Amino acid sequence: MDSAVVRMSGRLRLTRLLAWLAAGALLLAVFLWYLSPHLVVEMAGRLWSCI
Amino acid sequence: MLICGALIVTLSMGIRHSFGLWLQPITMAHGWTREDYSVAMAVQNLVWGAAGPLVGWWADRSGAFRVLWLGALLYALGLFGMATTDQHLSFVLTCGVTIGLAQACTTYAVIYGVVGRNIDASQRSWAMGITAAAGSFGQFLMVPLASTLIHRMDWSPALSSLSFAALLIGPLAFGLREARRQAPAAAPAQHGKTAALLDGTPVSAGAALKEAFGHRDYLLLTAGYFVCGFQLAFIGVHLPSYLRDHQLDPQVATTALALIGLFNVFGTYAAGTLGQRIRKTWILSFIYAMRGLAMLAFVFTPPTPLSVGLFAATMGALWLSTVPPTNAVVAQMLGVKHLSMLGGIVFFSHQIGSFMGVWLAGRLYDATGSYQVVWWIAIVLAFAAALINLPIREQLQPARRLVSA
Repeated sequence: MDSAVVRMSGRLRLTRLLAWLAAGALLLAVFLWYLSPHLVVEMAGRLWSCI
Repeated sequence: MLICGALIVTLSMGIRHSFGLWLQPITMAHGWTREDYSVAMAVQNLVWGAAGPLVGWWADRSGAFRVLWLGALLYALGLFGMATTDQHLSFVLTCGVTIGLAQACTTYAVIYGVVGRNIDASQRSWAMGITAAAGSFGQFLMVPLASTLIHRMDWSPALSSLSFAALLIGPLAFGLREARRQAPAAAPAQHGKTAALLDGTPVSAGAALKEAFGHRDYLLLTAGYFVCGFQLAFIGVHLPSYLRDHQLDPQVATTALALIGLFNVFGTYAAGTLGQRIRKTWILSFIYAMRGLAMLAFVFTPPTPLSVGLFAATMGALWLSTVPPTNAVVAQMLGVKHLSMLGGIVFFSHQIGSFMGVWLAGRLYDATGSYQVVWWIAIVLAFAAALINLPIREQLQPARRLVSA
């Protein structure tokens, strides 16, 4: 019974860790997308044109 | 439910956040001025805020499901109208009025009503943090996505494709269906109405409104949210112009936008999570005070790419982080029965602040030739908001509760 509870909480912790890693990877990917050379130039042009 | 709510806010806030990128292609295609486009955006923001309480009342009464479906259809219709119309008046009606209404139907106030009613108070602030962080992520994601779509497909097909994306809100609304509730009846005479709102006794929307407007703390919270809107709209719209005035490279503005977006996700989630452990009004005071300090440091330092990056990261962490604690305080203070409507009223104040932030900054810039005065207004407002949030009581003592006659 106790080992089942321990296994469950271990699995939960692993799921949480994986979810955090996935979220982190997604955020990093989007951030790198912003910094891709053609997009930086194009968005800068659009932002500047909004002024 | 939380996943569906988060995805809906990701879509609705994300699409909305990309609107600045359509200015150039749309005005060029139709030969309009920037003012023509700005009028539609200003109308959109005001309609979003003004419709919020009414839409919230409907969502509280009938459930969020129908409201979200209507919002999805209006969003799609508005975006399609933006993509196809070449008349300025119909552009204002589609981009301004229709999308403004759609945003009122599909953003925080409506989603938080469901979250508030269905998630236990012990986890409510965290759940609101998750939902708001999803909205922040939508904003972060949609800017480069919209820019890429415009680049690859041209602006009109790109907008039409976003209108199909907005339709996804409809199916996602199935995850936010609530069990049918009884229509609110009149409040019992022997109760204080705040007590009735909190303990689940039926209270009419009118009585809830009267109660809320009689609450000093609710009014203080609403006033604080005005400042939030003022600051975000001013910085969001006028920061690139400020950077250009200081001869910074155009790409610095893009990096600043990316940093604001990235740190916004962390800040919003952190504010929601901390709201479970720390007094939420203290979190709000801290956020406003930190904004004031960040702006103070920024205006006193000559802008460089590094200082702009640091400012953007700091402001990003404080960007939408006011959303979860503000709404969680409303829920705690006045109950969840009319949360969408009461949250909608607080948000209306935010939108008036946004309008003032954009408009006043432009006007003062034209009058003085710099943003200096507006920065100082934003700084003073930040510290004022920090102070007015301090005395707000999240849970009113029974002796202090206002009892309507």
